[in-house]
Amino acid sequence: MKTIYALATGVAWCALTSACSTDLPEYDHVEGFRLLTIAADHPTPQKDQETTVSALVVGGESLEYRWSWCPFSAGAFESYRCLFPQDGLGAGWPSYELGTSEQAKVSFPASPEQIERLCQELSMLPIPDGRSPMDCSLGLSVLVKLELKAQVNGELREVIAVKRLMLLSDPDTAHINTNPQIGAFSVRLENDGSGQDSDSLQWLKKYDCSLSVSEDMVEEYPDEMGLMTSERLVVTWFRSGGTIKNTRTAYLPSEDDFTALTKNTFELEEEDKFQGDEMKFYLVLRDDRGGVSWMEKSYPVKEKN
Amino acid sequence: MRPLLETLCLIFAVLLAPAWAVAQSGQMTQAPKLLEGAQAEYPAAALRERVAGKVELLIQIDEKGAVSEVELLKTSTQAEDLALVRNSTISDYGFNSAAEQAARRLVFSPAHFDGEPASVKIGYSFQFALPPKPEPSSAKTPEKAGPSVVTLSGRVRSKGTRKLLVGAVVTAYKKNGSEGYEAISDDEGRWSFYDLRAGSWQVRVEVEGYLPAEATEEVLEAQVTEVDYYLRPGRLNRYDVLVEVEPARREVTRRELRVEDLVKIPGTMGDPLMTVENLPGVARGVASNGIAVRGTSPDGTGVYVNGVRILNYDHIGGLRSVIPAQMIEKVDFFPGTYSASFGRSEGALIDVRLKKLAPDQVHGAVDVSLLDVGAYLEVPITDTFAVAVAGRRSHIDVVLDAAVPEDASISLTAAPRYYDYQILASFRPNANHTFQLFGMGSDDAMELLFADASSAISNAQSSVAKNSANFQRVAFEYQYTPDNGIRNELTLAYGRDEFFNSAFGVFNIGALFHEFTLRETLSWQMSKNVLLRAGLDGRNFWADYDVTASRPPREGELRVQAEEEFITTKGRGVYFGRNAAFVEGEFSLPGNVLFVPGGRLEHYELTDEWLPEARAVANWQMLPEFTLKGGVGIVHQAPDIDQSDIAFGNPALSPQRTIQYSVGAQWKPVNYLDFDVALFYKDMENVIVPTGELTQRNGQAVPLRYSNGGSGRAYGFELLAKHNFHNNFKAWVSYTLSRSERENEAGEPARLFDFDQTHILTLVASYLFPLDWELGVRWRFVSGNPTTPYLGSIFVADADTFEPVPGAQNSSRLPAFHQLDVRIDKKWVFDTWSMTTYLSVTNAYNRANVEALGHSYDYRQTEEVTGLPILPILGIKGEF
Repeated sequence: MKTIYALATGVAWCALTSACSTDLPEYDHVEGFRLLTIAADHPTPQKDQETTVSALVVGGESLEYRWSWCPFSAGAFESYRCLFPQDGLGAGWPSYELGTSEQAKVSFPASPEQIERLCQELSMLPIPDGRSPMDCSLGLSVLVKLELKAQVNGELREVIAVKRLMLLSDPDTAHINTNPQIGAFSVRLENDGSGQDSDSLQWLKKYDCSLSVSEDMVEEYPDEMGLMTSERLVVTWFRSGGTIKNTRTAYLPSEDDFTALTKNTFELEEEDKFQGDEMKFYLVLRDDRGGVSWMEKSYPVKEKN
Repeated sequence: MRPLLETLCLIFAVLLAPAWAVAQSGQMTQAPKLLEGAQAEYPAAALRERVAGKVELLIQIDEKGAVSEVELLKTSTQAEDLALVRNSTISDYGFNSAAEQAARRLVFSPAHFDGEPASVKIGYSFQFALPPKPEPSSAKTPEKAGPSVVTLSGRVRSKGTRKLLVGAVVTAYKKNGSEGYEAISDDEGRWSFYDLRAGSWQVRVEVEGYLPAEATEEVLEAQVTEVDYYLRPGRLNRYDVLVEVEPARREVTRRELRVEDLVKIPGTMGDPLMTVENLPGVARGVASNGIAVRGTSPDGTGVYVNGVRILNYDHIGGLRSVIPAQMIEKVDFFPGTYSASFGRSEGALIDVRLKKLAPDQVHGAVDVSLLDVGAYLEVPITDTFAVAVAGRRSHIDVVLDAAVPEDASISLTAAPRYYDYQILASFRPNANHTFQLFGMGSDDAMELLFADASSAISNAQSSVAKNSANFQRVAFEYQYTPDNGIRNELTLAYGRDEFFNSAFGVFNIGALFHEFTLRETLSWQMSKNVLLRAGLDGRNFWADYDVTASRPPREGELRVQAEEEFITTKGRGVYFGRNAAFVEGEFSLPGNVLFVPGGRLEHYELTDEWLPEARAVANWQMLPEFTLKGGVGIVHQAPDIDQSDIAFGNPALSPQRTIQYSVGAQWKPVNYLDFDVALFYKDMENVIVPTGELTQRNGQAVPLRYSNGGSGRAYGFELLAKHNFHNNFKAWVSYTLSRSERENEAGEPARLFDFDQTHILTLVASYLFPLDWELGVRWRFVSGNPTTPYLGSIFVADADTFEPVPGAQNSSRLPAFHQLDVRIDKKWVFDTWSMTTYLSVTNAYNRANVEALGHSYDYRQTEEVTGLPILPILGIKGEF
C-alpha cells in the first residue's frame, strides 16, 4: 500500500513539476519533419464500409509510406509487432499490407458474428506487455500502422505511428463514431476593440486564438454501464513558431465549459527563434473514441523591428 | 555533612557504564542512582607525602542496589613534591584499598531492565584531592550549641533543562582554607549544611558530566540561606541518554540510533527516520520512495512504533517523518535476520521506541524552521503518571502561495501542507506494572488546479489533481513483570488510514482502512543462561475502497502511457488478516556464545496458507571487545493489496519468500570506537512479477496480471566505523558494496534491481566547539540508480502521444550522486531554559545530482533532471 501511496504522491508531484521549464523541444512546436496525427474517415467501420486512413505530415522529402493493419499486436514496448498470422484469419479478411500510398483504403467484409468469433479467439491469447486485455463487448479493435520514411537534411528519418479502428459487432448504432470537425480558425489582437480578425502576425504582440467548433460535435454514446455519456474533445495547437499558452485545450464534460476547448493565446516573443515569414498553425481536433480531424492555416509575419 | 579533611573524596557518580561491561538483555528503563555515598579514608602515607590520587573502578551493582563486585581499572597519582615521591618506596600509597573498601559501602537504587531490577556494572571513580596544608589555628569544626540547624541549603540542577542532579558534591569552605565541609545532593537534588558560622563561605559544586560551579554565599546568623545552583553540562542535550547499554544480541546486525545521534545530522533536518538512510545497507532514496534496504524494495521495510506497524511514516514528498525526535528514545534498525517476534518484511525492520516518561518536572520545546513549526510538552502528573504531547504543522503552503505567480499554469487550490500530533501517557503504579497509552495522527493535503490539464496529460478529463492522506493510531501497552523471571507485554492498537488521490479525472483512488493490532509477548528467564519467549503477532484490517486507475507500475516495470488499461474496482469491508505465533529462545552457552533459535508460523488469510519461518542467530564474544556473529532466517512478504485484488491483480498469489543469510564481526578496541562489518546474502523465491497470461474465472478467460514466477538475489558487504562522542568529536563512516538482481521469469537473464546501488558511502562528523557552537557535516557518495535506455518511439495517434521502445532493462546507470550537507548549531543556555539556532545547508557545494532523465516528446533527446540545489534552512528551537 505504501507503493500506491508513493505512486499517487509521485503523480501529484510530477504534475506539480510538469510546469517547470525544460530545454527539450516542445510537443506543439513543429519544426522539420513531423507526423502530427492519423485520421480515418470512419473510425468505427461497419461491414463492407470502405475506410480511408490518412496522416497529417509536415516537412521531410521523398516520403515513403507503408500502411498495414493487424487484429492482435504487441504493445508499445515491442513496437506493436503483429502477433497473429494472416493465415489464421481465414478467407474474407483484407491483407495485412495496405499499400504505400499517402492514404490507405480498407474495408472489412466480416459479419458481426465473424468479428465476435475472431475477437473471442484472440482474447484467449496471452496479453502482451503493457496492453489492455481484449474487450469484445463492442467489437474488435484492430490496429492500423504507418511506417513513414523521409529525407531530412540528407538523413533518413523514420516515424512509426499507430491508430485503432473499432470493427463494431454490436448492432447498436449509438456506438458509431463520426469525426468531429473544425469550422474555422482565427486570430485577433488581444484587447483589440475593433472586432476584426487579424490576417497577419506581428512580433511582440499577443493574439487571442479562436476555433469554431459546434457543440453538436460532442456525441453521446453508451458507456460500459449502458449510461449515455458525452465525448471529451481535445484540440492540439501545433504551430511553426512563437509561444502558445496551452498545448492542448479540452472540453471536459465533467467541467461543462465548451469555450475552454476553442480559446488559446499566441505570441511571438523577443527571444523566439522563429525566422520565417509565414507562421503555420496545425489544429488537430480529436474525440476520445478515435475520431480526428485537422485544419491548417498560415499567416504572414511582419518583420521584426 | 562530612568534614573535608576526613574524606576529600570527590565522588564521580559515573553512570556512564562502558558498553562492553554490561551483559544485560533488554532495555534499561532505569539507571542506578547513588543513594548513600561512602567516604574513602585518605591514606596516611599519601597525606604525609602530599600525594593526590584517582582510582577508577568497575563495580557491579546487584538487583538490590548493593555493590557485589569491585574491579580495579586504573590508579593515577600526583605528588606536590616530585622529589619526595621519587625517593619513596610506596607503590599506590593505599589509594586502591581505600577506594575498594569505600566502594563496597556504596548503596544504589538498582538498575531496571525492561522494568525489572537487574544487575549492572558501572564505572565509578574516587578522587583523592590534597587538603590545604594545615595551619594550626584553622582546622576545627563548628561548635554546636543545641540541636543542628540548617544554615545553607538548596538544590543542584542542570543548566538549561532544570533537571535535578543527584550525587553532586557540594563543598562549603573558607577562602583561607581554615574550614571546609561537604554535602551530597539527594534524590531531589537537595543538599544542606548545618550550623555554619555566619559569614562569607565559598561554595563549589561538582558532579560528573558537568562543569564545576563556584560561588560566594553569605550565611547570616539564625537564618537559612537558600540557593539553587545550575550546572552547565559538559555536553548539552536534554535527550542524551544516561546509560548506554549494549544492544541485545538477538540479531546479527542491529543498528541502534540514540536520540543524540539523530537530531543534528546534517541533511536530515533532525528527522529520526531520515537518519536511517545514513546506515550501511540502506539505498539512497528520492522523495517519498521509502527506505530500500539490502537489495529489496521500500515495500520490504516495515516501520513500527513501539511494535505497532505504521503505514505512512512520512509526510508528503518524504519531507518529514511523522514522529518528532523529542518523543523518541531510540530507533532500532534491523537490516535483516531479525527476531522471530517480527515478520512480513523481506527487507528490513525499523522499530521506533518511544520514551519511557519519567519527567521530574514540566519540560517542553518549540522548534520553528522554514519548513514547519513543532512543539513538545511533557508533564509529571504524579510520581507514577506522566503525559507528553507534541504537534507539528508545516507552512510550505504559505511560502508556495506567495511564490507561485498568479498567471502560472498551476494554481494551488490547497497548497501542500501537513500536520501531525502525538500523545503519550505513562502510568507505573509499581515496579511490576507499567501502562502506556500512545496516540498519533497525521494529515497531508494538496490540491492543484491546472489551467491546461490536457497539456500535462493528453487524456485529462479534469483540471484538478488532489492528494490527501491522513491516519490515526492509538496503542495501549501493558507490561507485567512479577519478580519471578516472567515478563509479559501486551499491546493492542487501532489504526485508521484514509487516503484519496485523483489526477485529471483519469486516476482516482480512495481508500479507508481500519486496522487492529494485537501483540502479546511472554518471556521467561528460566535460568541465568536460558530465556524463552513466545507470543502472538496479529494485524487484521478491513478496507473500503473505490479505485479507477491503471495498474501501478511495480519494480522492474516501465510506465505505459498510451493504451493503458484503466481498471475500476470497489470494495466494502474487505478483510485482510495477517496473524502469526512465534517462539524464541536465548541460550548462553559456554565460551561466551549466545545462540538464539526461533520459529514463526504465519497465516496468510487470502490463500489460507500456513507459512513456517525458521530463524537462528549465533554470537560468539571471543574477546570482551570482539564478537563474531552469524544468522539465517526465512521471511514471507505478502503481496501488496492491489496485487492481490481480483480486479487489479491475482488473488491466488502467494507471499514472496526470502531466505536471509548474514555473518559479521564487531570490534570495540577502545571505549569510543566501534567497528562493525557484515556480509549478507538474500535468496528470493516466489517473487511477484507481472504476466500476460490468462486464467479462467467463472468460466471466463481473464488476465492473471501477476504470478509468483520471479526470483532474485541480493548480496553485499557492509562496514560501519563509529567514533562515539569523545574529545568533543563524533563521527561515523558507513559503506555498502552490494548487488541486487531479479529474473522476471525462470530462464530469463538476470537484470539489475531498480534500487541497486553498487557503492553507498556516507561520512558523518560533528565537533562541539567552545561556547556551544557545533559544526556537523555529512558527505555521501552513491552509485547512480539503474535506468533503461530508450531505442526509439512509436506515435500513438489516438492518445496524441509517443510511446517509448525500451532497450535492455536497467542496462544503464545515472551518474553517481555525491553531496555535502552542513549544519551549524549555536546554543545559549540559561538557568531554566535554553535556545538553539541552527543553519542547515543541504547540498552545500550545489552539486547538480541527476535523479532521473527527462525525455523529449518523441524520446529522441534526453536531459538530466537534477535534484535540489543548495538549500539553506534556518531554524530556532527553545527548550525548558
